[in-house]
Amino acid sequence: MQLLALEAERLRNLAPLRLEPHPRFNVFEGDNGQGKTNVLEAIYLLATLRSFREARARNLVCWGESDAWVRGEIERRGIRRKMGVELAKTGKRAAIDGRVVDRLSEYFGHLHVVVFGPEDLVLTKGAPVNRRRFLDRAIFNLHPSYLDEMRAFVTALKHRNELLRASAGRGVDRALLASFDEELIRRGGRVLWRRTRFVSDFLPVVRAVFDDVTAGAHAIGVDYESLAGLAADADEDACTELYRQRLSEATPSDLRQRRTTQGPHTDDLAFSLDGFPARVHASQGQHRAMALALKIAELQLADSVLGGPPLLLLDDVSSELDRGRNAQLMAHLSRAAGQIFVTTTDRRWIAVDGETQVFRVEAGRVLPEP
Amino acid sequence: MSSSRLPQALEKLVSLLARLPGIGERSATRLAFYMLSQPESYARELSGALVELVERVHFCVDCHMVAEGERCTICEDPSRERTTLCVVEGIADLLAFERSGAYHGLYHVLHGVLAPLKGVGPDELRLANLRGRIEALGTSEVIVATSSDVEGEATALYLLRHLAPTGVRVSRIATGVPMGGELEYVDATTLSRALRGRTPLE
Repeated sequence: MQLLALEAERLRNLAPLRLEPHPRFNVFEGDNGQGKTNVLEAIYLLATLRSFREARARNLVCWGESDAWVRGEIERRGIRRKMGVELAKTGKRAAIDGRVVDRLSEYFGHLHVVVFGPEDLVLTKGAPVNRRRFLDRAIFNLHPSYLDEMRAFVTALKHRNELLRASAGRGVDRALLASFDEELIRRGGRVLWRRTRFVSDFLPVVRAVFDDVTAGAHAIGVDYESLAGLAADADEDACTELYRQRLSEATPSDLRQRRTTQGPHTDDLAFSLDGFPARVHASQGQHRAMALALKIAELQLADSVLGGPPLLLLDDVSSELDRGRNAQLMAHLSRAAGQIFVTTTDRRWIAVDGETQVFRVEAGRVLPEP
Repeated sequence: MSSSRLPQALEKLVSLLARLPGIGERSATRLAFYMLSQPESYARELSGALVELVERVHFCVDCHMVAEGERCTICEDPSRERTTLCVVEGIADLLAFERSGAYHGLYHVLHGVLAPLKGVGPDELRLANLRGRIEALGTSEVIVATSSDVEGEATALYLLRHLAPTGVRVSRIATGVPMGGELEYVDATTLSRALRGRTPLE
């Protein structure tokens, strides 16, 4: 998978952008606030129709302008396609080969990206919701229909929580609760099954990447924490039946606490370092290395599932790692395949041999260096 | 909105129009000004039509379809099969079945689906007379034709429980691949549902 050309207009502070990326390493060098990350935002938007830093893609439109667009030409398995996204006041429009898609879900599946930036430190340090979000996005990248499945689960969960909340003082309509329980169980069973399948492929890769990036100096443990008794090889029916059992056991307590205590919405990935819980025992640098291992593992898994590595977007990564780990990261990336886009304040951080195009970013202008 | 500068009658109309589904304050104001720009006869005709609507059109006391009398034309039609009852969310769904020409039984319009988040519980649906109807009609099968989203499915499950005391057979419409649809364009969720709901070839 390769990005052959990228164009953008009115995106953040970027001057009209036209660039032809290098098939391997693209380094965007510039001082802070010049627009380096906005180049990565343009690529991320093209692939996902979202922003990786803003809650709403709409916020990527240059201040004072009413619309913005990004276009790109990609090649995947020998097929070239033109992709385009327009952010207008009326909403997002996405087009493939000049044809506007009716449903945004038709747009996905052609260009995949994995992004890693300073905000990703919350992956291992932050609250579980960050790790669930990571899991969900990684699964969605491999199985686009997961988005609808996840949304349906969240809808069922909200309805059930509302029933529990409203039951205060006047009891609950058992038949009504049972109906939404059943929907929650079915939709939740699907989500649990998707996650179970994903982590059984994914976690071994995370451990291997972490060993590689840290040269085996520490032993990392990472486990999927979900419903008690969830087997690593459970199929969808087994996930659904287990959820049925756990939900029914928890219902008296759910009614007291007036919220749903069991289900995929409480899942987590638990990290340990040399046998101790990482959240409290790992240093800042070790957290960085773990978060990066998660991202690179996502990339590698996507490579094997999608038949080609996604684009890797590394935002200001080198300032986040110490010199030793940085050198190991660069060595790892040089060995791995794929097209990589890195932003940095100083290109000397990016120690890769040849196969590199440097772009200088100044006041929103992106210029290739000869 | 600087609606306080407007005459009270105009402001009142705007606030009433703004309660219509899909109409916001801005569209409501535009509609109100449009009416003001038209000959007076238009406003009289419109208000007359509204009054006539509420005076002459009611909901059928049995199935809650729109009706000019106490009962709708479907419930009054002696040629309809009276032993099957199809439960739908809204009148638009009923009309879709009628257009298909594939169904000859009676209907029951819920006027909504269960949605606790929106404050819609069983009491907000037109359910009160459903069990009574089934017993009075001697219904042999109830077909639940709510949509396949979370609310539609939960409503179907609720109906199954709600109707259990009547002993009537309750069925659910199938979900899956649309006719004439090319399989490769069907989304994965629908496809896996269709696979689960497969039927033997005869």
